[in-house]
Amino acid sequence: MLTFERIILRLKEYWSKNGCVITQPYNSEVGAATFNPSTFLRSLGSHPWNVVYVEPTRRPKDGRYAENPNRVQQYHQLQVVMKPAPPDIQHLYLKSLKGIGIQVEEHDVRFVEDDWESPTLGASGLGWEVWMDGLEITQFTYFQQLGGIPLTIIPVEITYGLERIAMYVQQKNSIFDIQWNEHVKWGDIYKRFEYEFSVYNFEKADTDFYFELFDFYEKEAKNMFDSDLLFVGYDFVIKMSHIFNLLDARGAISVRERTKYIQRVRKMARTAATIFKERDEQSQSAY
Amino acid sequence: MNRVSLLIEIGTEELPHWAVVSAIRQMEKIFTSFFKENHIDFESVRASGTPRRIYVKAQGVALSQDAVIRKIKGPPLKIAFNEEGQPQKALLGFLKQRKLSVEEIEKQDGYVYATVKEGGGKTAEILNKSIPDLIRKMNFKKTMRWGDELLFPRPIRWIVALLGDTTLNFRIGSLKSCNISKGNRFMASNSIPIDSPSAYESIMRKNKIEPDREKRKSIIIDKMNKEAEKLGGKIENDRELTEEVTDLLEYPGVVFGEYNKKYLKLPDIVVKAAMKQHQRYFPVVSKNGDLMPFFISTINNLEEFRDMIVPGMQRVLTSRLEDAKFYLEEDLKVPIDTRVEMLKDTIWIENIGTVRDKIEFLKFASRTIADALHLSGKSTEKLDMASHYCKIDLSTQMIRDGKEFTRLESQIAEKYALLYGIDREIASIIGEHLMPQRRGDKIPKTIEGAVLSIANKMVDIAGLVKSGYKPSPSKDPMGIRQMIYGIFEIITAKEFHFNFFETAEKILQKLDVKKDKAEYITWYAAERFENFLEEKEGIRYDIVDAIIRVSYDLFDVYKRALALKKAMENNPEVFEGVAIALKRVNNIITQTDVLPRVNTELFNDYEKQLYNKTEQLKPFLIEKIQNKAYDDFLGLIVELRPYIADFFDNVFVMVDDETIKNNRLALLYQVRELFRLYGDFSRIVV
Repeated sequence: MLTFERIILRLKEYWSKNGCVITQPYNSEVGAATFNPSTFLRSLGSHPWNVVYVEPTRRPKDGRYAENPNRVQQYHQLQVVMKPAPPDIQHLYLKSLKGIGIQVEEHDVRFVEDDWESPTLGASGLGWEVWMDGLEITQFTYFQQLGGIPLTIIPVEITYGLERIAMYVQQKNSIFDIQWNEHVKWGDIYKRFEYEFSVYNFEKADTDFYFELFDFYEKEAKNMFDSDLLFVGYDFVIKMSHIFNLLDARGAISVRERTKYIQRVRKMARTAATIFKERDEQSQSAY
Repeated sequence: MNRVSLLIEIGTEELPHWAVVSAIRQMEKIFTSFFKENHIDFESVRASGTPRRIYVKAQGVALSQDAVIRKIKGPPLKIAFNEEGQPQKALLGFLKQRKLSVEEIEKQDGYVYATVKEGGGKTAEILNKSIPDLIRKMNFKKTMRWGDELLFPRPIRWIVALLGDTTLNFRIGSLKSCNISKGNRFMASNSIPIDSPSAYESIMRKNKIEPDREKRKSIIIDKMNKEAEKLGGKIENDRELTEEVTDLLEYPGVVFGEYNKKYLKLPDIVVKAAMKQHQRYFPVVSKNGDLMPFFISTINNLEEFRDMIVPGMQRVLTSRLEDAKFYLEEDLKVPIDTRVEMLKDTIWIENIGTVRDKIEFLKFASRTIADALHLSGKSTEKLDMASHYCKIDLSTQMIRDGKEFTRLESQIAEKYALLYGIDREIASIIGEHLMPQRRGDKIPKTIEGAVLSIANKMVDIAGLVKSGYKPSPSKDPMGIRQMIYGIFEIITAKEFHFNFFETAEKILQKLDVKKDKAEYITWYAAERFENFLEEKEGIRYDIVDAIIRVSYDLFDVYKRALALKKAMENNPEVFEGVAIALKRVNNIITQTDVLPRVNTELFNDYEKQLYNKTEQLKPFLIEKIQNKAYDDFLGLIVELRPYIADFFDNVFVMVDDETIKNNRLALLYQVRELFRLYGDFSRIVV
């Protein structure tokens, strides 16, 4: 059986062979792999950039106290970004599935329209969710806009839902039963973790503290952008977004306020994108 | 004759369903008019396609343009030559532009003429030059970039272009036209030479693609019906879903799957939603319509791989059904009256109130509408109860699921109401109280369901308007227009006669909506009714505008507008004349104040004739209006037309003598009032 870690290793190796640099997750809570500066910032601008990395992704709202076999508040995405998008990218992607034991010729694979949008990042793209025998396993997006900036060089973002793929490959009905390696299950590592974070996200998180922290991070982000410390400023944008997600999960933000908070994060994300773009224009590479 | 076939295939990454449909329609249209505009003779043009290719085939295409001989007009002789007969600037310019010499012209009727031969160009050359622009000409509601300068709903990756067995030669973006297509992504080669346009479909079929959309669809339907029959049941007909799945695959594969019988205890709408909405599976029902524990799905692969594919499909469905079962069990633990009180925790509209508050408004609104419709006391009681319970699903986990079950709002309320022991009749009203939500949705069957749905929409609109929301034709993110249209759909389908504006006003007042806001939204609704009838029946907006000024009963307005539309189509000049005359009347009368009673003593002949005719027609017209005999009314009132025409041709109204002038105005006023029994005809645009 192909274990969870094998799936990751094989995918990383595959994309590495296809020219992607393997990087590591961002060391702060993100709601999607797109937040990682390796995607959000480096997808901007005109210089080529190809990357693959695994991102543990936090969605406080999706926690189910480890009781639901399909929903957890932290799961793993494997992210591939290629800029510019190669013309045969769909083919490359389908080949990657073969590497993890999915014989696409014997299954029902479809590219189903799905237009992606992230209001907090001011980002949007067109693409598909990829279905494998009725199960959505990947999000496939050609970015059109990031941080409110329309893109001229179009990157492609491929986000594999690793747990879903593992459940599919290993034929498991519960996330917690996924074999991480031959001896360790997903649930061994994360069951208690899921429970504790569900309790925290829904019951314990100190909302007053987080509201204050949100303001503080926003100020800090702005100050850092003003000091031309782009990556530091953006680090605080990521934190703002996570706090927003946390407060949202607690139901602490009303519908009307919700839009305002999203706008505040977006404004900072725009600033980061604008600075990166300016730098990129004066630079010889994507770094 | 030298005739060949043309094939253009645009190869793409997977297009969404809407884009496939739209691209096919546009390709057919664009190429048909291309041939016509360029005088290239052809027999037929037909487009079709799959998510990965849109193609157009033209049969019997001439290899060159028709030669057209035309006589063209040049400058007038006066300026073409000077007195000495020398060609002048105007003529020289004309000759240069047309590449003619002065010997080739003719003189006729004071002008210069030349006979020219146009066309005769080679079709292949014209195609090479034009196709890139023809493709660029297509437009879509949503397009993207993918690293080429082109815009299209999804990336274009290849273009096959053949005229007969010749490959056309053009570039669009970074692509060059060629004769190499691609087969099915999973079952065929990535490089398929196309020898000739006529072989295209058969080559595609050999490569596991049914390129013809209509054929693909009928194969799918056919296979699905056969599968269902084998299972002892039938497919529930769903046109929209069938259209959609047709464009989710190139090879029309069909398989069936099963799920555990225990889920049949769930409300059938929930089980169906789990299959249809996200998974795009078709539920199988028995001959009498009950769900069977099977589904049928299309697959983009051969049926022989069924055993590899179906277990995965079943697992996904089971996990959704398991969610639903869990929700239902948890939801029913809360008693129904608690569910109503829980609505205090759900915001209806920010700063306006909770859904619990809305319930009370609903009771008032549905009662108001029921009164306006003169419904029985029993109906009003039913409406009261249905209003009370119609939102019980909002606090349930089923609706808060956030995915396909969330869309079952009101239908879940109906099912739960039954499970909670509420009367069947009341439950049905509850289940209908949001219909229709979108264009083309079903209309409530019961009278009470229809009333509650109108009430619900009116209360929502009033609440939104009160909160400061102001819709406009170009900006309406909350979809007030859709709600208003829903109300109109119900009124016209149910033939509801009531004073729409007075009823709306009462509801707006009940919610304390400020006067200016209330006036704006009422005006906005009236304008939407003009659009509504224009879209529904092709009735011109000005006709509706004319009638809505005298009748506030929208169903009545609809009937009058239909009759007037028909009458105007049969007799356009007469009604134009009437409209012009009444515009004149309006221009004159609005300038004066109080008018005297008509004094017949002061009349001249023309006035007398007009007066007598109005007096003669008046009782009949009133009777026709009362009986809503609108065709008859219009048939009668046009008899006035010649009398009015004679009057205006022969009588000057604005004379110095005040008494005579006012008497004439009084007569015109009477005429106008007769027309106003039906509508303000001066509003009709001529």
